[in-house]
Amino acid sequence: MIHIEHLTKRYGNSEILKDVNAVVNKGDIISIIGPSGTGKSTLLRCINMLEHPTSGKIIINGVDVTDPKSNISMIRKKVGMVFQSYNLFDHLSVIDNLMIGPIKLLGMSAADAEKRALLLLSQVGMLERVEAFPSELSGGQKQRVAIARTLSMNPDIVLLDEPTSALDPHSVSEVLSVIRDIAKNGITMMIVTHEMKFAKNVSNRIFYLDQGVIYEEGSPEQIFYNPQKELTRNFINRTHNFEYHISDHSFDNYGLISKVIAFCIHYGFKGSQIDRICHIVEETVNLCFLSESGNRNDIIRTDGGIDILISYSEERDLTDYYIYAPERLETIINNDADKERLSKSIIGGISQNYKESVQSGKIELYIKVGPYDASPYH
Amino acid sequence: MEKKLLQIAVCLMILISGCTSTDKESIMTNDTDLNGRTVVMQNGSLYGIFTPSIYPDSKCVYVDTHTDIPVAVEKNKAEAGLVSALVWEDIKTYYPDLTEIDNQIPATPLAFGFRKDEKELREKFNHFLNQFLNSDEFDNMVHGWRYNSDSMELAKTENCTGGVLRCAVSADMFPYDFIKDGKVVGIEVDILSRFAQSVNMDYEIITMNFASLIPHLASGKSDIAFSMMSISEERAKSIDFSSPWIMEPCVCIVKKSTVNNKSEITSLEDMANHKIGVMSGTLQEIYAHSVKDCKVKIMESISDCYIALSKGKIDGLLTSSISFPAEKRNFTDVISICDTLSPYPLGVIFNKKNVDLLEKYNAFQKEYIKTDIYKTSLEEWNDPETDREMPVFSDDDMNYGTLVLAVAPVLPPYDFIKDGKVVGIEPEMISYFAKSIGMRLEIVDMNFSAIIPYVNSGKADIGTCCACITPERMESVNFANSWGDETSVLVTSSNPIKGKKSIIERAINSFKKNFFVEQRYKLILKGLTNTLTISFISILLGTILGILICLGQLKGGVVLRKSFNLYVTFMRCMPQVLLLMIMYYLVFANSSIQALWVAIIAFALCFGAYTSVIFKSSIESIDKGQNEAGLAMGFSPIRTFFLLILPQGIRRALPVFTNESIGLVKATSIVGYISVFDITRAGDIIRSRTYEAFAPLIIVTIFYFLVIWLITLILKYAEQKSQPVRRKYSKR
Repeated sequence: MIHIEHLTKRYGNSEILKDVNAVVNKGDIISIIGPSGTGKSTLLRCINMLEHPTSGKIIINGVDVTDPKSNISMIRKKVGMVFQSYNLFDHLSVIDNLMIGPIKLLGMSAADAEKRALLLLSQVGMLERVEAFPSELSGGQKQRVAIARTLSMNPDIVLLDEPTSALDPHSVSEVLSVIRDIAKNGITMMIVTHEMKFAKNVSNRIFYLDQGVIYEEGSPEQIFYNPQKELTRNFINRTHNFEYHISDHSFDNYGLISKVIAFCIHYGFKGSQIDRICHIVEETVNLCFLSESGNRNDIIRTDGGIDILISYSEERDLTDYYIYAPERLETIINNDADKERLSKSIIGGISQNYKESVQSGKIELYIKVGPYDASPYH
Repeated sequence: MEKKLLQIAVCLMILISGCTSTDKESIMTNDTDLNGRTVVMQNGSLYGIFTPSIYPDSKCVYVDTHTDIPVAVEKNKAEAGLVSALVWEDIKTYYPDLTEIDNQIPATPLAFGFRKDEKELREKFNHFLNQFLNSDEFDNMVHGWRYNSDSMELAKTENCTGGVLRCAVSADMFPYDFIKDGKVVGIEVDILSRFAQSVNMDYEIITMNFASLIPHLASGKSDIAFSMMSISEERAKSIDFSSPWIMEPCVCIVKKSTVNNKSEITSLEDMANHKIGVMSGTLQEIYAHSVKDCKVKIMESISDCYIALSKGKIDGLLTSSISFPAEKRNFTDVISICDTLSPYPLGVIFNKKNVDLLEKYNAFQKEYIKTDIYKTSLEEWNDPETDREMPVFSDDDMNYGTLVLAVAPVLPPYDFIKDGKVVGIEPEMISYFAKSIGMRLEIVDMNFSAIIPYVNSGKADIGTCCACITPERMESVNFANSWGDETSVLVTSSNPIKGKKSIIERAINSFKKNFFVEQRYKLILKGLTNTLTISFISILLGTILGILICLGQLKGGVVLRKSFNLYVTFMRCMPQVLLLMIMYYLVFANSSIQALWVAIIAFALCFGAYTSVIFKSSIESIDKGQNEAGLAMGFSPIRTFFLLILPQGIRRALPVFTNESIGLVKATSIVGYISVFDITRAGDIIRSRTYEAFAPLIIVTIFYFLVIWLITLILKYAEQKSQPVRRKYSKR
């Protein structure tokens, strides 16, 4: 359906795409992943000629779109695009956004276009806001309308350029759900995304783009669980870390918790996950300071405080929690002071396992959190 | 700048010296009233000794340089100032608000100062001075430095070998000692240089404050000190003086407003240092410039001069003796001081190229002024209540085309507007002439200053405006033989007691007079029609042009973009009035296109340039994602622009566009320059007849307000229309 041959794209001296070759078959759902700045969006924009390739060929349904003689507008009608910034027509209401294409470009009658628009809006769950203007919608709503607008042209292929990057975590899931539903209808799609779980679950092929080429290509299982090449492996296994230092008992407890929550939200943790992490942080820190005589606070202050590390691996969906305390405390899981074993039971209850050890002059308490069955994509 | 600094310095000094200034504007008529007042004088001058003894209750304030004295008086920092008469003579023209009053301070002798141990030098100097003062050269020298200091030179002493005279000078007393081209010169320096030359010595000038002169000399750092130094006992204790070279009388200066001075102006000479109003382009304007020392205020019409006189903005005005009787009827609070000033012949103006017509006219005029028609017209047009009308001739006899007459109808009884028509002695004369040569007469009225260019550019065949025949004018146009002489009258306000009518009554009367009498509303309506026509059509054409320019700049090639940019820059830098005049007098000089259309074209060109910038910036402000979304859907670039980008752009542009349109309506008030009769000009014409400022201006303002309101309403409607429509859908 789409053949990309030796595609290059250069901006001045920097070569974004060096030599991209790919074949997209009908019905394919391809996720394009990779580090920022590797030209994922550029590749997508080259396919419908919003960017003009420096060299190479892109053949869609047998027509070379890079050929200046080919009628690009005709091809674009069959190649829908969903933008990161939605780009709804601000002066048109939701339904008019969906009707302008069919009426002006496909020659549909107003009544037919309206009927179809309402059908699509009900598919994306936006029937409630038919009369609204884009400025009156939330980001997630705008993107759902934008997807419906793309579908209103009845395209053969839909290009989605980071459709959820501009959205808040809550809206991400509503948009991703809509895309998953559309994917089920058998439409060909190419998606540039940073949502690894989504890519893994929805695609049949993954392009890992790096160094200006499709560095590794394969099924989701291959790319996520058995990457063949080094850069792919590094990208898949990379972790996101949260670090916090507590010098003594007078630390800002609320500040710590709010930062932990912000970290969790940034990586799309569900509400229950966030609660668990927060509980673990609160209880472990509490255990460090807990004593009858109060001298544990003095030890912590004089021996360099407590360090917290939360390490999240997106691809494996694992969260590792570490807390480091001075060796002189002897133990963090403090059975003497924690008479009723309350903290201990909370930690035990919400973690898969935990382990206390002494490492280079510090007590390390490691707690493994997740993965969770609660993930919406499993 | 310098004067400003000076003022600040004076204020500071007076504050520091601890004297409070008073704002009392009491009347001082003679010197004894100086008692109890603040008097400013130069620090170290003899006045500081005399004043307390003559006026024991006065308060003395001292400034460092005598130039600060008049400034201090002018700015109410002191009530009176004492300066040397010689100095005051030279600087008084810069202080028109100050005047002299009598005083009893004695004249003081001025002399050169010498060290006590330099008796020989002093003797030599006295000897030289005696000879020099008795020579003619002295008077010439003094006169030269005072009135022609540029041509004066000091005596050469470079080659003198008898040593160097060191002179201490304050160098801030024009014309005695001052700095010119970086060199200290002046009367006293001149005397000194001549002396030095006579004793074969060179000299060196050391400048310092006046107060430092005597210590400097006494300490032996210099040999001679001078700077208008007066001989006093006090000073004589530390230095010796030469014989006095001049006696210096003292002048006491005060603000004019504090002097009770009745009827200052009784002759043209009294206009010195006063403001005199004249009408632009008239003989009186030329004549006023020759009146010594008076400030000339040039105005667009003679009625403006009268209004200014009544408001005290000018002290007198010059008008034509011919039109004065008519003006006097309208403006009763004036008196003529002197008439028959500067007689000049009057003539009708012809284009230089049209000599044939001129000759025909001269022949006609020669006969015409002998007729009774002419004689009665002289009398009857002078009567404001006259029912005389312009002669009407049937067009059937006019087989030789149209004769265009340019008139400035602001000078009754010669040329003025009555019942909305141009009438007067001159138009009547020309209409008989037109009939005599079988031509139809078309009268175009315009500003006085536009007449000559208008005739000169060939737009009119004849111009009349009570024009005096001057050599300067004869360079650009031809004059017919003179048909009369014009003399000038000096007019001042006689300040009679104003009528006791209430304000409302006066306002109503004034409104009636300016709006209904002589059907003046017709003028306003005619002007309104033109203002509306120009505004609407040029907004329409300009908008179309603006859209085209904007499209060219956004989508066009490099050449198109560059040339449009150049056009826009050029139009934005061009004052509209200049553009208008260039269009009329140059571009369309030889075309028969109406002035109204020239105005419309000029304003449309400007408006197009202005609005193209508005459109362009509005369109560029739209997120480029909108364009990409349109393209990605499959719209061609052109359809994307017109279907998706332009509607959003117009929405953003409209508020600014409304503003610009309002600006255009107001800018049309300049079309009077090219003889278009708009509402501003209607107001001017009415003012020229009623000699009132208030009512015509208010009426014109109200009509502008209405026009702009109308345009705002229309654009507001467009703004509402451009807002997106919320379509209603029934949910299914």
